[in-house]
Amino acid sequence: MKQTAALIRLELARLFTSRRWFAGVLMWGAVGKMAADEVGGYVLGAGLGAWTVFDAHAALMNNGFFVGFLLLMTFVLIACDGLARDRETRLAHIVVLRAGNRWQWWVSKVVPMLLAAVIFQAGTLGGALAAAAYEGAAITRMPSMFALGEAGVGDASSQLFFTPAEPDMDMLLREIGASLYLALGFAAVGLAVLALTVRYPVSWLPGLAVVAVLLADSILGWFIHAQWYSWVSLPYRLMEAAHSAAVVDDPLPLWSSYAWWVLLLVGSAAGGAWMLKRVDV
Amino acid sequence: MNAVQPDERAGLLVDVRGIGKVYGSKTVLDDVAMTVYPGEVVGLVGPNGAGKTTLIRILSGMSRPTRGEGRVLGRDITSTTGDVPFLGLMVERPMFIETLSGRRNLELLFGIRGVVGGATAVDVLARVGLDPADRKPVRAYSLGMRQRLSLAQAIGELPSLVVLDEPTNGLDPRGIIDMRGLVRELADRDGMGVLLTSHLLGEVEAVCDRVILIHGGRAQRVYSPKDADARAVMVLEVAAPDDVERVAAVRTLEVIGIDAPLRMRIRVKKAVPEVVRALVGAGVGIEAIHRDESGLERAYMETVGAR
Repeated sequence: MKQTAALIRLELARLFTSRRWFAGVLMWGAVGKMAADEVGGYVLGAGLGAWTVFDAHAALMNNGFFVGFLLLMTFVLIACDGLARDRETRLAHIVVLRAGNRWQWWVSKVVPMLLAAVIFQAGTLGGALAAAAYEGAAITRMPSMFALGEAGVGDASSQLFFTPAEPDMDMLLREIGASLYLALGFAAVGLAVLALTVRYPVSWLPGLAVVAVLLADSILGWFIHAQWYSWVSLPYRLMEAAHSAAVVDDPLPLWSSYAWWVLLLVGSAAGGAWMLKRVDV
Repeated sequence: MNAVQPDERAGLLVDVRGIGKVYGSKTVLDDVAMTVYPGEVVGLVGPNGAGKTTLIRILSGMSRPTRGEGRVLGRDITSTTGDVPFLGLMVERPMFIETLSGRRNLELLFGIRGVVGGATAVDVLARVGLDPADRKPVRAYSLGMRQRLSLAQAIGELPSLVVLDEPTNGLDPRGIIDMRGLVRELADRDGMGVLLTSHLLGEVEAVCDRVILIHGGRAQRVYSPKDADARAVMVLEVAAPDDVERVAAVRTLEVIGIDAPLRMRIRVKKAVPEVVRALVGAGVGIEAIHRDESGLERAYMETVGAR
C-alpha cells in the first residue's frame, strides 16, 4: 500500500507539474469566454434581464463542440499519454523496477488520471464562472430567468441547450453536479485511451484516437437513425441535456449513461491491467 | 559459457540459458547464455542492433523472452505474473520528471521501494559528482549530468545487481574516468554485480572482469581481460630492424604479431622481468614494453569481422 502511494505520488508530480496544463488554462478561459458571450448576447436579445455566472457554465456543458471536442481533446492530450510517454522516454523502466510489479504501476497511472479528470472539470467550471463575471453576469447562486428556461431551452438560432433549473435550486451545486458527471465521462474516455497505449505505446496515439472516435461518431450520425445514434454516440452522451425530457424528445435514461461510463471505466482498467502484464515495457 | 558447477549456481545474480527473442519474423536474440556473480563486472559488447538492449530488457523484467530459461536475482525470467527483480538499471538517454530537480526526482524514486531514507539522495548525488544543493530542474541538465543522475538512481538503493546501458555516453573525459572508478568501486567495495554495455572498448577492457561479445543476436565469445592468457600478451618496441630477428630467437616468449616494422606483439612464457632480462641478454635494443590493452579490440574485430 505504501509502495502504491509512493508510485501515485511520483505520477502526480509528473502529471501536475507538466507545462501542458497551461493549454488547459487557455482552453478553460477560451470556452468560458465563448459561452459567456453567447449567453450574455442571447439574454440581452431576449430581454430576460440579469443572468448569472452559472448560466455560462450550464450552456457550456451542453455544447457538443466545446465538450465533445475542445475540452475532451485538451484533457486527453494533457492527462492520457503518461504511460506511452514514460515508455518512449524509458522513465517507465526505472519506475516499473521499483514498483515490484506492473499492476502497481498501472494503478499509479490510473488514479492520477482520474483525479486529473475532476481537476480539469473544476478548471472548466472556474473558467466559465470567471469569464461570465468578467462579462457582467450576476454572482448569485439563485437561478436566473434564463436558467429557468423562460426563453426556451433550445433556440434554433443558437447552441444554447440545457436542462431548465428549478426555482429554488442552488446553481452552484447544480453545476458542480454537472461537472462531476462530465468528469466521469472524461475519466472513462481517458482510461480507455490509457489502456490503448498499453498495447500501442506511442505518445501521439491519444490525440489521434480521440479524433478517430469523433470522426467515426460523425459518420455514424449520418447513417443510422437519430434515436439509435443517441444511444451509441459518445459526445452526445457527455452532454447533460441529452437526459432531459424538457430538451430532447427521446431523452437517454441517466442510469444508462452512468452504466455506460462505469462499464467503460471498469473494462478499460481491467483490460489495461491484463495487457500490461503481457507486453514488453 | 564460463564453466559453472551446479552447486555454484545458488550464488549467481544472473543465470540464464538459451535466451531467444523474436519480433514477428525477426530474430533479435538467439540462444544466449550468461551469468553474473556478486562483485563481478561483466561487459556486453557488440555493434548496434546486436541485441544488447533487448537482452537487458529481458534481464530487468521489462520484456519476456520467446525462448530460454533462467533467473535474475531469483526471479524466473519467463514469469507472467508481472513481477520484476530488485536491480538497479541505468538506461541510455535517460529522462526524468523534467520540471523537478535531480534531488527531488531521486527522493520520489527512492520513496517507491522505501528501503533507503531521504538522506541517501544527497549522498548518492555527491557520489556521482552532482551537487545535491542544485535546485535546477532536470530539463536544464546536460546529457552528462543526466547520465550521472541516472547512475545515482540505479545505485542509490544498493541493489545486488546493477545494469548500466552505455554509462559513459555523453560524459567528458573526466566523467569517463570517474565512471570507471565508480563501477569498480561498486563491484570491489560494495560487492554488487555489474552488467554494462559500451562501445568504448578500451573502457570496457579496463573495467570489466569478463566481456561477452554479442553479434547478430548471439553471444559469440567471452573475453576475459584478466585471464592469464590475455595478460601474457605484451607490446614490444625495438630500436633497430635487426632486433626483430633477435626477439624471435628468445625462448621465453612467442612473437604473435608484427604491427609495425619495429613494434610487435609477444606472448610471454615466463614472468615479465625474466623475459626482459632474456631480451637484454640476446642483445635486443628495447625501446618500450607494456601490456597489450587492445585484446578486446582484436577479439571484437575477429568476432564482428568474421560474420
